[in-house]
Amino acid sequence: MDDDKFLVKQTLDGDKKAFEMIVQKYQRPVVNYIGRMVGERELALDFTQEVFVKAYSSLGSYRLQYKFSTWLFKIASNYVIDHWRKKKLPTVSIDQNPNEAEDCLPIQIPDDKPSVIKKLELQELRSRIDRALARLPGSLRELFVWRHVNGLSYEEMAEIKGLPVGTVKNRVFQAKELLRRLLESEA
Amino acid sequence: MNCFSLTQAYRYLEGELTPPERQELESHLASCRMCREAVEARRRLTEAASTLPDLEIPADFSARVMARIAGSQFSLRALLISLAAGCSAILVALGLAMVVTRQSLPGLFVGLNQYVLRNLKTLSLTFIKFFKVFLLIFKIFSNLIEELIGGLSVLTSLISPQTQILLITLTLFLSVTLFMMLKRKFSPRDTHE
Repeated sequence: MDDDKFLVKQTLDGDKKAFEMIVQKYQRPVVNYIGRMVGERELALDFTQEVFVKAYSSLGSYRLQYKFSTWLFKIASNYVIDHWRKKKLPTVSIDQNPNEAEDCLPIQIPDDKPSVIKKLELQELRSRIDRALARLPGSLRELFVWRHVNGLSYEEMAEIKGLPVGTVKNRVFQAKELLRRLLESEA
Repeated sequence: MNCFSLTQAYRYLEGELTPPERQELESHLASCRMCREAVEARRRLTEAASTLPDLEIPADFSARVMARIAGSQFSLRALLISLAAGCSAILVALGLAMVVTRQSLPGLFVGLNQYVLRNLKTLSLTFIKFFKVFLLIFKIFSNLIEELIGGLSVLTSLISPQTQILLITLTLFLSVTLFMMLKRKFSPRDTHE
């Protein structure tokens, strides 16, 4: 039994300190994820708090055969989608069956002009990525953040979203390509 | 080799190409400046994206989450405790009224009923006045009450539900015992003996 599962078991046995340890372990990844999804730090902190409260109250439904982080990110993802729905923001569901063309990156001859991405200082590039992320469609942004900010594996993302691994990979590539184009057009 | 697809470029950067595919692509990159630049730009983007700074988190964040959890648990517990406390208070009030008025429970209800009917107007006005005063006091002390509820929340989170039930049962038992003792003390002597 890994550390997370041990802590979950301890929590279910009434040890609140164990859940606090879970919070301390996952607060940063969850805040980083929600922060990049909603674009506001304060809101992200509030939402993260709610996510942990929800996780605590539904801990009984967590099945030990799954990874705890996957389960937690699923709750966080649902929370973000609910927020978008309430705000009436477009929520193209990633779970919907996309059309085939959307899943494939077009075969493309590389750009013939020099890339500005290569010219920018790393720090400047990071802050531009942070800004450009807000312009990515939510469903692509989510996968991009999970992959590059949270470092989730494609298998974990596929499990959270209930999608084939190949589809998730293609969409992460799509997100990166879209982001690159946004950065290039901005410069 | 012709220029490759973007998917292949990303798969290459993720280290997902088979050795022959990688070899073929790398030999193409060596001879095609445009493809080399395109792959380098994407590699740099991936590197920068993977090292984005963490968002700042307050030092007491986990403590806040735990307090919030204690608060959400408190709401259900508070309802049960309030109900139990309310029932206890009614029982004690009824008991005291029986002792003071020296009447049985049905007699007490009949008397109360008659009293209410007789003084309906006065009682209504008094109730409204009390309600207004209560609202005013609540407004003034709402912050204090909030703090008290917060404190009670922490207190109840420290005491297990079993202990809380035990305390309520003990309070009820003591109330009933007190009532019986007072009733015995104040009940009229049997004059027929």
